[in-house]
Amino acid sequence: MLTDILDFDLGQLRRSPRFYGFDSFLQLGKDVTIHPAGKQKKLSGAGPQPGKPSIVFSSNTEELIRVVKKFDVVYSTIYDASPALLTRLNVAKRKALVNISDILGKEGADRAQMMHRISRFLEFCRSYRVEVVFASMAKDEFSIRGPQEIADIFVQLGVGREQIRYSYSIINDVSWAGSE
Amino acid sequence: MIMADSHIDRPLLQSMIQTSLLEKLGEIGFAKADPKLAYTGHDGTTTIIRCAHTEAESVRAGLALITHIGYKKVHLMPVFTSGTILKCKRALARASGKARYGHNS
Repeated sequence: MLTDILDFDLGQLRRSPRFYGFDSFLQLGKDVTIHPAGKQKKLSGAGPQPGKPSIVFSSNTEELIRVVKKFDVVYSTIYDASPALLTRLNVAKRKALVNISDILGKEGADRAQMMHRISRFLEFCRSYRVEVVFASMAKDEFSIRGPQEIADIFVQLGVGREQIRYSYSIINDVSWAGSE
Repeated sequence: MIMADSHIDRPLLQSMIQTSLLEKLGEIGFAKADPKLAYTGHDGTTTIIRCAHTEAESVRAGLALITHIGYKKVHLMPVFTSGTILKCKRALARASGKARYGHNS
């Protein structure tokens, strides 16, 4: 079952997930919770909620390493292929996140640099046996890209089509980290 | 299939797709692929892009990376890939529910 995470109200969608090649969509903030790592999390007071996959994000790898166990999916916004982070993810059996908006939201050299970072991050994830969740995190329907389209891009960067399909399917298997 | 927040006319679409693909594929990649708009549907939401079959995958990747045409937000979604334009037209006709398939415009 292929699932994408979107960052807008699903009621605004004019087309079904099938049209894009997905089986379902999850709404960020409603079906999936997202939390900043570090001090901001303590201020907001909101942690993972039972039954909903939780994502923690930060550009600071050390902050992420500290909170890996508390969340289901870890999103390093700078795609830092840090061996320490990837080892922790592997041991804690947590997943890393690749946000497609990070590519589509940029232009020119910035986009090329981000694609390079992501492809290197995926290479390291593979060697550290860390599973990766793909999500478009689209803010409108024009930013949604189907699994086939994402595979077309990532095949050029050395990632297999099956790997992309698998990465879109595992968000459904993510259990709430707090239940362990 | 082209999804846009408003109608895009064919000359603008052709020039913008070529400019965007040139940027995405680079000059050498663009020369190898040689992408051209072979046909545009009457409703303006469907088009057939003709390119070298060896570079079809990189053209599809380039199309997926296009987010804007001018100031309009777009999503260029590949729906069918074939070796002949005729089969693509048939697929377009099937998709839009029309019995007849159009002529080159």
